[in-house]
Amino acid sequence: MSCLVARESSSWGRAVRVLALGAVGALVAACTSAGNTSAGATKPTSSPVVQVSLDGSLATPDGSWAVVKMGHLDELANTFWQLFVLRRGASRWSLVTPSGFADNGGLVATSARGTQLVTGFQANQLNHFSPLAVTSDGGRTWAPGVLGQALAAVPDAIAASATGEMLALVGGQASSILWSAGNLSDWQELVSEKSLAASAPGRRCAVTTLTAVSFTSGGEPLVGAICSRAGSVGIFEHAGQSWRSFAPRLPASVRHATTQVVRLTFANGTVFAVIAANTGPLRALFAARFLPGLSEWAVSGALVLPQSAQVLSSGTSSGGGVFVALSSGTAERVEAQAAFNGSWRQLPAVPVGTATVAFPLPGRVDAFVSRGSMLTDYTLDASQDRWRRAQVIEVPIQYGSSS
Amino acid sequence: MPGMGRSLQTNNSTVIAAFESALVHQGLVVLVILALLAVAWNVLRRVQLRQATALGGRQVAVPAGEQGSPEPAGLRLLRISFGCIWIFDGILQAQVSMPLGMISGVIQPAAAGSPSWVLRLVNLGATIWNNHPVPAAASAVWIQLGIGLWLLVAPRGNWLRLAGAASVVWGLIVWVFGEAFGSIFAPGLTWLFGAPGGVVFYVIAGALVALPERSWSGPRLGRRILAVMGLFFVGMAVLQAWPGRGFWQGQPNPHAVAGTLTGMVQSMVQTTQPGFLSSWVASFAAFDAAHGWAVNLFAVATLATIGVAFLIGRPRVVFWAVVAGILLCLFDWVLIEDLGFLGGVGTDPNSMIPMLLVFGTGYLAITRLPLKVPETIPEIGPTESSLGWSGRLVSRPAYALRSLAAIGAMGVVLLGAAPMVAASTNPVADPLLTEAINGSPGFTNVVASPFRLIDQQGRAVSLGGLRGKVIVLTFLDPVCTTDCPLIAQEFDEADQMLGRLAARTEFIAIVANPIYRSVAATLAFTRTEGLAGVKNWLFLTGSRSALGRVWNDYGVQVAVEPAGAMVAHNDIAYVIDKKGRVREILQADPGSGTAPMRSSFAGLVAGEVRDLLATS
Repeated sequence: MSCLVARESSSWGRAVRVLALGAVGALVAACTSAGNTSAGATKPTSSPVVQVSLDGSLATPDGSWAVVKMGHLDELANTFWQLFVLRRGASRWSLVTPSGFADNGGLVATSARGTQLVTGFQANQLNHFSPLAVTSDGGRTWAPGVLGQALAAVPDAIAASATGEMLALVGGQASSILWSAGNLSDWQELVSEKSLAASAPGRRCAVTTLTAVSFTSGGEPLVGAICSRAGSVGIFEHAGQSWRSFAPRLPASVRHATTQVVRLTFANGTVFAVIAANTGPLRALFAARFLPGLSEWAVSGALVLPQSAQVLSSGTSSGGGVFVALSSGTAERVEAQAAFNGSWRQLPAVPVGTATVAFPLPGRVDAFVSRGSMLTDYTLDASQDRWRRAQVIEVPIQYGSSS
Repeated sequence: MPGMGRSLQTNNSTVIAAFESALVHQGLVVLVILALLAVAWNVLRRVQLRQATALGGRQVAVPAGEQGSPEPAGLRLLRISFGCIWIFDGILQAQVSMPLGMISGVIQPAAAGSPSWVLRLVNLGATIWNNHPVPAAASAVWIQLGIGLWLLVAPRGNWLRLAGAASVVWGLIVWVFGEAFGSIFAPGLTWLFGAPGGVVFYVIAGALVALPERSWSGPRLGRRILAVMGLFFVGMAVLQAWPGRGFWQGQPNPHAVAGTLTGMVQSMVQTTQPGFLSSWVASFAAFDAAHGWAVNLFAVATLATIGVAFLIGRPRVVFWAVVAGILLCLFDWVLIEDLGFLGGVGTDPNSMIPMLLVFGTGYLAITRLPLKVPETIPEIGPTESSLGWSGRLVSRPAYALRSLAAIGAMGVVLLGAAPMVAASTNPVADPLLTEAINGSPGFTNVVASPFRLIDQQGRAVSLGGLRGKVIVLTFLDPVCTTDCPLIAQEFDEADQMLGRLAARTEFIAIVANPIYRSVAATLAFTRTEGLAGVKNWLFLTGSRSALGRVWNDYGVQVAVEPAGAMVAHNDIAYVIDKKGRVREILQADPGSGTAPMRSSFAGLVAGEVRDLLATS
């Protein structure tokens, strides 16, 4: 795996971006012209551009959190998602997976009110609705909540605003967005996928699937989607009683691409998005950050995805950026890594078997390798070119307990 | 404990004991039938003796026709051989793994790959068997033993024809529901593996036996049998030669995908069987892997040649085709079908032996025609044909004996058929299935510990407030991912079985999770399990301490497990009578949660509730 990390520099590296866009554009043009068909003629697709795992990490003011699937990864029933925290001021990660529910279907997390973390469990096996849990003390204690329906299997299936309002993306084929004023067991429907698709911005995008929920810095609900209409990006803001497009404009080189909002998250006071674009011959990721002061998006250069590459993990960094970790499509070899703050930066090759990376502190990068019940944390040394083992956590996974 | 759900294994001791018990009990009934027949025989002999005395030693004339001429060789072959095969199959059906292994080991593999309408049809039979595995398995034993005996002992004429008809009827049932039409609608159909199913030949044989005996008097019947078999062999040769079905390839190297025949034979090697047989089959698998193309060419050529020879129909040609066919069938039976009945759930010797008996019958029917016996001129007394059945019973000892034996065999068939019919009309699975996992219910009579908790609508509910109703009580984790939803569905099914009695019953679950115990959680569970409309369903919760007291009172152990595991608790249910006394304690592990398991538990609970409503 390799990661492109949010560059902390103030510059967006305009020259680099132009070059990257130019290269992508040239590649796209070459590929499309070779087939004597324009990208705009590419048949719209409703299938995701890229598969996204629930593994990842997020940085909050109270600490950093990592979601890692562990156990026997070739057996769904014995694959348990674990939650780890590096509390503010601490140097070592702690296991803080909430108890009371079998999380071998998956686990997602989002920060709330600055100091809280809300986790949502994927309904699995014969359970058909998602339990929730919230902590205000860095995962030491949890309070339960219940969503009456099943969370969608995407990393941004739940979101919380700065004031504590919450959104949840539920359902599979017929999904909808639920809203809560803050009570984790009291939800009501905000909008269904069908209604959103029928709205004016939804029709312009030709929404096929909802993929993420978040909030703006002003507390307005945001929804991410897959658009089957070429050139549209499906990010919608619930303003007043109606929906409007809140999408960034992607570079002209992918103006004919179908798009998928891979991540949509509110962190460090602003909204971040990761968008996958598919022109047919080319798939690329773009990172975008909403600049509230300018009321516009800043969009990164394209990160071209190798064929069959998938997003192994993703999340936010403490420095104000997002990252993605990509598989190459082969077994354990993870070739690319990504991060964002205007441009993609590749991290040194991560340890074999890395499940996710985390950026808990400015200048610190962790890579988590999961093998059975053992989690090994590697950190990038000061020279930022070598990984060294920093911590080993043995997780008391209860194999066979939850199937 | 959730997560510990067990599925019923074929060697489940409870089911095996019940199966053996059923066989013994039905065997005793068979003995009673034999005893009655012995008495009847004794009475008949006395009557015969008295009549013989009255006639002063004059014999009843030997009539012409059916009773007077020797039995046609083809008919005799079919009657005796298929009688023996049915008995052999009946004995195979008595294997202890049959009740629980028949569906997974025989029917499902046979139906795999068949079109959906076949699967639906087969599923009808499988549902009956799954719901009532012991009666179904025992029925199969006695029906097949009975048909076999019937064919062997029945006197010629209507008794034998009736035995043939029974063979046809049961054979068709087995062919459709047990063999999924011999997998003829599934991909990979081939003569080598037993297409179109061994039981088809039982049906053909039964139909031939059921024909009037005069059908055997000339060579026409034999020619027709051979023509049908000839067309069949030619068709199978074409199918065998069809490209793209994997029969022309062996397995040139261990990493290559094995050809269809090689793969099949390699899988047969794994069957539990004598070492020498395993060695033979393994050797043939290796030979076919190396020479797959040649083996298939040989099979195609031989099948086609035999088929054409049967169609030609000349006795001399047919003779050599029959010899070749017998050799080919025996070769296939041993090296490819691996005898067909080994491994614990084999129900018959597969297709080759019945097939060679049918075409062998065809040969006999054209070459060994019955001798024409001159009519005997009756000297004194009535002719047999004028006697009627009762007269023949009285006047002919051999006929009487065989008729009584046929009645006995028919009784054995009915002994098997009756429970099968009863099972097929009862949609509720046997309580035995749940008892096989959970043991028998524990009976008691103690005051149920009181509780006062909150239901899924936020209303207070106390045990005392439900006095006058029968209560079925269990403990469920509202966010459980395995057993608890199944138990809730079992309760729902029991509720539906009760019909109007449900109004006098309350199905109650108490939360067994100290963390997810909110009313919102119980309501979400109720809704997602489709129980919101069930009027007598209550999912109760309360404070952690209140729940802890109830758990303690009812012997429920709850443990919060770390690292994302489900909360562990024991699956238990109580049946409380109208006076508030616990009358039964049931272990409530839903096992694999299959429809028969749910039905079994629900039927058990509904039965207990009915009893308590009727008595308490």
